[in-house]
Amino acid sequence: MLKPSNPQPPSFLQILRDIVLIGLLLAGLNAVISPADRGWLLQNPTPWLLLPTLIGLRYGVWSGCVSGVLTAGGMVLANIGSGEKDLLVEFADAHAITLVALVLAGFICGEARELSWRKSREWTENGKWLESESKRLRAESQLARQARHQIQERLAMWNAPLACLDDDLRRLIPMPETEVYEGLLRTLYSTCQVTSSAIFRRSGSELLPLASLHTSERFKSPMGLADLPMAVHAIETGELVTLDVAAAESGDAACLAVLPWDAHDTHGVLIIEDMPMSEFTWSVFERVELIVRWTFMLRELRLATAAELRSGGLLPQGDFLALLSRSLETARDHLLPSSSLTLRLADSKSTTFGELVKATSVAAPEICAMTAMPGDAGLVVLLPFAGDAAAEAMAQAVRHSIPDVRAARYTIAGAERPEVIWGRLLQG
Amino acid sequence: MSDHSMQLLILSALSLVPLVIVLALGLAPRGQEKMRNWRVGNPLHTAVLPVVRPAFLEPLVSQLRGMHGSEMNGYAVGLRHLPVEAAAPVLRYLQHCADPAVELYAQTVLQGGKDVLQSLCGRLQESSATCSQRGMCALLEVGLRLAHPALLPSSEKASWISRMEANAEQALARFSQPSVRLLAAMARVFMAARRLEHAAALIQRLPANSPVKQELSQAFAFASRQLPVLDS
Repeated sequence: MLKPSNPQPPSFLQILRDIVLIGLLLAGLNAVISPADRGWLLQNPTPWLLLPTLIGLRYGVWSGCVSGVLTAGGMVLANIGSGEKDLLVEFADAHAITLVALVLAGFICGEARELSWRKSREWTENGKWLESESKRLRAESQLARQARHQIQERLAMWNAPLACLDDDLRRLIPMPETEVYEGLLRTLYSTCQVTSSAIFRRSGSELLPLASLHTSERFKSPMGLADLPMAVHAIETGELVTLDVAAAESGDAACLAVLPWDAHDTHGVLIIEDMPMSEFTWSVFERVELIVRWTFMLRELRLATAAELRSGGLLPQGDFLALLSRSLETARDHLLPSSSLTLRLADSKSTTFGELVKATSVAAPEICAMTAMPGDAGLVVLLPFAGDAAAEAMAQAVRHSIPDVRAARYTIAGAERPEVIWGRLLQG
Repeated sequence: MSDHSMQLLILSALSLVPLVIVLALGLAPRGQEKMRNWRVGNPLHTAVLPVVRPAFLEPLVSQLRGMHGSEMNGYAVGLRHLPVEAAAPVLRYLQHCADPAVELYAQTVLQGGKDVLQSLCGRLQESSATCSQRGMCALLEVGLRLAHPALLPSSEKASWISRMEANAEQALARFSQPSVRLLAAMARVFMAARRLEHAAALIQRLPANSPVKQELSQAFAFASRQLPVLDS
């Protein structure tokens, strides 16, 4: 809030100047218009009332009264001329009301001016306070708007790289063998900030390089397994092995972490040579494990499905349940749901089960798993990391080929066991 | 064998015992010593994670303005999981909260986050003349985090960056074959210090077509304002 304003009072000289100027003006007019009637005493009211009235209105009570007294004094002096006592008393008696009225007019106008000035001063101060308050509120609302925008931006971009992880994985799955490893390392770099990493295949007691990204020379050529004790330990335990933070920060160990992987009939290790310490956390390693595990698993599944497709395209129920369980695990640990679709034939006479399988295989996206319901009553399709939209699109595509198919979709998430979900899928 | 020679034999055998122990201790721990620095498995696999709560869709700014007192405790404490430079503005806001507990939490979390970075930076700085490449990388990275505007007043920024610049120069002199991470960290420091020619030279040394090089080239182009102006 602003301090109350304190305007400067008018100076004495300023008041005197105005009194003299107005007095001279009136005296001049009086001399020109009525030279015989000094002080316009014959006029009622006398125009000389203007002097105390104007001064009182402009400068307040005291100025008004003083100007009234001076006007009355001037009038007396102008009329008595010689200043004899009897004449003075006689004049005062004759024009007492006029003389007093001059002083009273100054007083009343001065008081009126004080009243209005007090009011206007209050309004001015209120106005100033309101103006400053409105400026402050405007600035605050502007700041709040900016902060809200920034926070929304941050919230929107929070975990943005992870939100597209399924898309990255989808790109990795169909890649040829020669490119997938480098693609995987690049995905790890972009989503987990793993700066330098290499992927090796195990061949007996040797590690053969498959791809490397930003690594030193030693991780670009084959190396003995015994040269990297951390890799030996990781393979033995089948678990991720990392350095502890203090050793990773300043130590000169060959690598920071080793993660074993296996795909079909190939085994190996992922070696993380370097990464920023701010990212050296369990949650980042969890993400690394997830990406590596899913990449190899889904590639394997794709190969298996391709092989199965040649002989019918369906997974055994046990394999399907294992994938369902893994999807539930991912949904629980990473809040990344998958979708499932059941497809039943409404009329098994007009369309055979084989035709349904064929139509579904054509409509199926790159990554999905299918299995038959007991008694070939229909199909259950698992779409890993896919939302309802992808499941609906697939159902539409199947309906386009076989109009009388009944499709139902489910989101694979929650704390239920895979067997329970499987039962629900069959019932649905 | 006489008693005397038997006694002599036993005594000799006993005198060898400490030697055997010393040898065993000297040989065995070498492997163990290394493994002591290792962590096997990820504890997140077995940890009991907190229950996931439904997300608040109300914007944070509205919650901060609308919630009072102890309701904000959760925020202040939860923010310790974020990088301190990202959480600092909200923590500073919470320090003006009417509830002394929230004020204290916010102050403690902010101070604690800064202290962790500063003590790590100090520790790494002490050994900067002898540390490994990774140590030097960590020093430069932590230094750049501490240079974040939310943590460092602008009046101190110039002196802090020049200190990091000296560290980068030292790293450049010490390591003839710097790792990619170290090259990237040095380039970032030189960019922050507006020594663009040094940064450009370091970026050139990065492996061709590597993601790090692409990323830093873009950052460099932005820093030197050489981005093409696209007319929409």
